[in-house]
Amino acid sequence: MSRLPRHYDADLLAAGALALAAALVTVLPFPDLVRAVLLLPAALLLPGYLVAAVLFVPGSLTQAERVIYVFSFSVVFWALSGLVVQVAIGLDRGVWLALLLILTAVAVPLAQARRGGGARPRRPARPELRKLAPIPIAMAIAAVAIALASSSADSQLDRARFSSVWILPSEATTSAVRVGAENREGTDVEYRLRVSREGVGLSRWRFTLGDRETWQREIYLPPIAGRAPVVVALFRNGRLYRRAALAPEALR
Amino acid sequence: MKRRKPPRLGAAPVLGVASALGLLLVALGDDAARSASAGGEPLFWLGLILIYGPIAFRLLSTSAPRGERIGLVVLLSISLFLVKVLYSPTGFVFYDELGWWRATHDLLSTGHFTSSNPLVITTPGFPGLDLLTAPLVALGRLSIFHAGTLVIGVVRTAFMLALFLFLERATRSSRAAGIGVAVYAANPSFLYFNGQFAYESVALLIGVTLLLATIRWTESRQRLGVRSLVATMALLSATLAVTHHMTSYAIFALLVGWAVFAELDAPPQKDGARSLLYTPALPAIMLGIAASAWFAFVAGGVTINELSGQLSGAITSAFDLVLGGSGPKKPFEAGGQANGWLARLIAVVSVLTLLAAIPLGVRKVWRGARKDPLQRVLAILAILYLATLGLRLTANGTEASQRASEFVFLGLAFLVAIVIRDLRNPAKAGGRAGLGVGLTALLTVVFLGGFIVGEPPQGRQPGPFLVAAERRSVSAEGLAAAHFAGAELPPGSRILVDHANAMLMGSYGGLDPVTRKIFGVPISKVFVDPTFDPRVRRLIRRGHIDYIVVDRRLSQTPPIGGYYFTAEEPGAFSRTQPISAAALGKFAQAPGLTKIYSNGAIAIYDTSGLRR
Repeated sequence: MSRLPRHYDADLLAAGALALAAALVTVLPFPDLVRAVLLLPAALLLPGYLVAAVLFVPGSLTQAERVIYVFSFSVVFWALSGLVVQVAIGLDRGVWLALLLILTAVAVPLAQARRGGGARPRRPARPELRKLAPIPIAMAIAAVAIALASSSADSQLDRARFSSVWILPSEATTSAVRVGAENREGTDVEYRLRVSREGVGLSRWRFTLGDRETWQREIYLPPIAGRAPVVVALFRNGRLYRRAALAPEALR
Repeated sequence: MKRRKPPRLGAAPVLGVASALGLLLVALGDDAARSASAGGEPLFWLGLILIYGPIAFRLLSTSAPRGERIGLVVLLSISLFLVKVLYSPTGFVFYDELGWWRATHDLLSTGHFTSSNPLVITTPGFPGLDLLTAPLVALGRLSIFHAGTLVIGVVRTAFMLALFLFLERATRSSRAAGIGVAVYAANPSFLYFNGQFAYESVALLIGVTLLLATIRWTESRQRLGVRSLVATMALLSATLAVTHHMTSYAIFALLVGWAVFAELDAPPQKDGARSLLYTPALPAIMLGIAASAWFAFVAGGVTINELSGQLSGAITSAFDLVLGGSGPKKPFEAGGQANGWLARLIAVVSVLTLLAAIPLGVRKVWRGARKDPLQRVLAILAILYLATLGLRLTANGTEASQRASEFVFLGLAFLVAIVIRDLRNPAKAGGRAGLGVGLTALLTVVFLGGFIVGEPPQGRQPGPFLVAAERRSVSAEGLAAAHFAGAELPPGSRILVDHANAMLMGSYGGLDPVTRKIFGVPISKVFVDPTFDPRVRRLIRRGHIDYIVVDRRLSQTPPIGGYYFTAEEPGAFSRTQPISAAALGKFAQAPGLTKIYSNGAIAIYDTSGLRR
């Protein structure tokens, strides 16, 4: 191919426009829904469409075959390009977007050149809307089913009633510990928390947590000698509810 | 510019409403099952029948146009995929899905695919799925769950469409192709195993697309262009080799068989080598080179680790069964859960129907006037169904049987399709209607029976927590502990943990679960023994175990799935008593261990105190 084509078919122009739009919404601040609407077809369909357009001129494949190749070549593109590129550089959003844009820049003129003055893609069929009327109804019912299932699954998890307590080394110093609690009781709960070592109280707290709320504090310790652990006890309704401990070795 | 003619969709849009109502019934059934209310099961099965039955009826009809059949295949695929989505619509719960979540998460975090995955050891060797999903997450700003679900839904639908085209060529009939797709949906792995976020789902699409390209290569390469087809087959072969081991090997074997029959049937050619390349031999060579190179240089180790255990277990079990070393596994029972009489009857009728179709179909293929090498290799593939059934009777062959069914059913779908295609149509309308209804009922039973064979009773619907039941063991407490670990504990920390919690700790927790053995000692011993003795303490130190995760609920019942930690643990599949509560409680008093996290059901013990 000695020259870039001067004129491009509508489908290839649209592919190029989709790639550019994908780049713009990735770089600029756009609502997530707009991003998803543009980027998902760009990621799932565009690479395969372009590869199929380069390899197979219009009319050589049936419509059904072309659909299959579009999806398959999208898999091929992401799998093989990612495989090769990650050997040299790490894959991230910018790299993936660059791969998509490079493919578009190369494939669009190649596909046009292959078509030459020959067959053009036929315009899509005008759908018989009356016959497609049940489809939105079906989609709405399916959406209700999915919403019901999601709500049911969330409710099942929400039915569990428990509280958690933990103690960990401080990230900043070996002279402190982080203690925490989480409420998953389904209602507000008042807790008492006591940190002690060898029976000697080091710190006490009283707090109320709403459902799914978390409480954390960093507690400084006096110099530690011996092997007795630091103990955190969580009380609920005046009774010991949960207990955790941290060995001095974990602080070093 | 001329417009294409619109495809005639016939009844497909209306049947879409029926399928959607079926999905609503499934959702209502699953909702009842989650709260252990009555009526969950009947609603679920009714929903499946409402999805599958009308579509099967229309695919069986002789009057549906091709466009409608394609529409129905797409509808069937999407609807059955959504049945799986309804099982767990808010997060992954299947073991392999969580392993692939981990692989995709690691790729997104590091930009490279990592060298190990504690849940699915083959992910580093076959990164096709995470390389496909990660761009969707990064570019579309989706969660891995949503991106993965979308990927599998799209890939599965494209696969079913590709399967339709492949069977259309093999049977020379769009009606038979539609019937074949409906039969394929009856394979025991179809509804859940192949609908999960895992590499095999993607590989099946690439594999069947390669078969379609091979058809074009052998029959109409000049029209498409030799170079285009060669490039297509090369790209698909390379992608398949890096996506899934078994699918690569199965498609390679199919292509080789096809090429052999093509060579046997072909008249002698002057330029033998050149004519051989214009058969399935060329894509077979391409795939063979790609898969071999990938095995040799990248994925050999993980492939051997994964497949050797399954294959040796299956072969050993088969020999034990044949030579009398062990009795057969009880059919229709798994982990102490048994199917009711109706489920057993449906499963038996399903299997017998498929078995009956094999000799009828093989006879048609071998005695047919037209010698078609593709038909012959598919017929041989179908005969392997007998071997997969035998594996199901062995102690450790079920998984091998399950995985083989995806390939074997390619052949079965073809044979059943041509048997039905060639049934004589009754002259009277009443007779035709009766035949249609009868065949629809039979196909529906085959479909339901396949699902019953493939899924244990406790795994078919969601429900209350069960001990050691994989997807039924994903609970709020387990998720809370895993998210705590993911947020607070050093990534990659080695932990001893049971199988069900390992799924969560190894994915959302970012930890490295050890569930099999340390220095030859089964992990189960650490949990089951009544004392935490010095030998165990030494093992934990030598094994660099950072934490021990203890789920008190393991003492409630014997393991529903047959084992707590691994299928090879002592007492697997034969326990009648659970782990004792005292054994699980010993960790609280064990010297050197401190409980750093507790949510009542699950405790995480730090082992720092053992390293003095």
